[in-house]
Amino acid sequence: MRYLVIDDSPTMRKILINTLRTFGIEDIIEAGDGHEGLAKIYAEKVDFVITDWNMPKMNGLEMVKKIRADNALNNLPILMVTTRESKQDILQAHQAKVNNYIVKPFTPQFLKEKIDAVLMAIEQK
Amino acid sequence: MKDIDFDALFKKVEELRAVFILGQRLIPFLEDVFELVYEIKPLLDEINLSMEENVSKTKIASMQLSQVTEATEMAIGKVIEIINGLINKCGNILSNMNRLNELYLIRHDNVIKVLENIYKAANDKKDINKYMPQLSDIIDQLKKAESDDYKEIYDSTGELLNSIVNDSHSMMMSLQVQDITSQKIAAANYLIETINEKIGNILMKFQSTKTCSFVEKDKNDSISFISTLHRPIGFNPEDADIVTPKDDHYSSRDDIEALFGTAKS
Repeated sequence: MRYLVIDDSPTMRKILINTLRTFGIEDIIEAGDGHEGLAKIYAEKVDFVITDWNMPKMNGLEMVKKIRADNALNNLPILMVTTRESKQDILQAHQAKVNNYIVKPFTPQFLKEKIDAVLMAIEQK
Repeated sequence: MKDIDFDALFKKVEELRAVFILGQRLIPFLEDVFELVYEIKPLLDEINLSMEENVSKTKIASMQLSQVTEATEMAIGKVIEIINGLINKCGNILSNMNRLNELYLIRHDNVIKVLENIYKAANDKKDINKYMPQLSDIIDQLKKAESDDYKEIYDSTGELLNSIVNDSHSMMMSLQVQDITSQKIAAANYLIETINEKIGNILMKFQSTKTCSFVEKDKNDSISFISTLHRPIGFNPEDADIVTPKDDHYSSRDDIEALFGTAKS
């Protein structure tokens, strides 16, 4: 399974990638904004997206809306990992069909549980 | 009938005439002054409003920076604490390694001792059975050492290594603060830039013939809330908002779980 990690912060990308590796996940690619993320989704076979919201060029929410607008990517698992924590933000993400949501900072265990929850929910569908 | 002092009267009339002439000359000047005040008033109102807004924005920017320093201090403190712990644990692992080495040497010596005794006995053509109790003793010691001491050191080292992995995860969590604080700094920078632009625009009204170089065209896309520091940084627009959100504005973890589905913890 190929994971795509999207965040404008290089530190955050390193943390996410290192954490995924501790779970035994090795096939990981990265992008620095929503625009680049979308390009990588179309260029490479991506099976799971972990994305930030606040990013330059194209923010995470805009990117998710574009992904969901494409029928071929409707079932692509998307986990949003962001500093945004208002009720309005959570609702917007839910309406955009993000599969699950984490507010930073997060523990590695919590990230794993969220990834597992997303994969289990998709399996059950 | 009283005599009228026409000279004095004419003098007064002249003085009055001079006042009227002065008044006639003053009126246009006063009209100009009133016109100036009329023109300046909106500008002064704008300056006043700007100043009020800028004071609020400066407060917000200052608050964000204060939160940044506090969060950074806490995160670094936590990381230092973890590193101190790691140093102690590495010391303990080193002690375990040294102890393992000692046990190895003891075991090694014991084995050599046993073999030497057997060799000596065989060489001297002595009755090896005499050495059996001693040999049995040494074999028992070796077995005990292997099961007790080695297991204890193995388990202890395993625990230490696992706790080092957990400490690394804790450090990773503390280091996430770099991303969170960089967004707050970006928000503060955005506020400072808008203040700078406002003041620059006001000053340009006073110096309309000169180009004010400190008012640069806004490079940032204010709709996307990006501030360019050493790189473009996206930030939460609420961090640049002069309106303080109420406590029930934020989601709890339970709110998120209810909407998206439950994770175990």
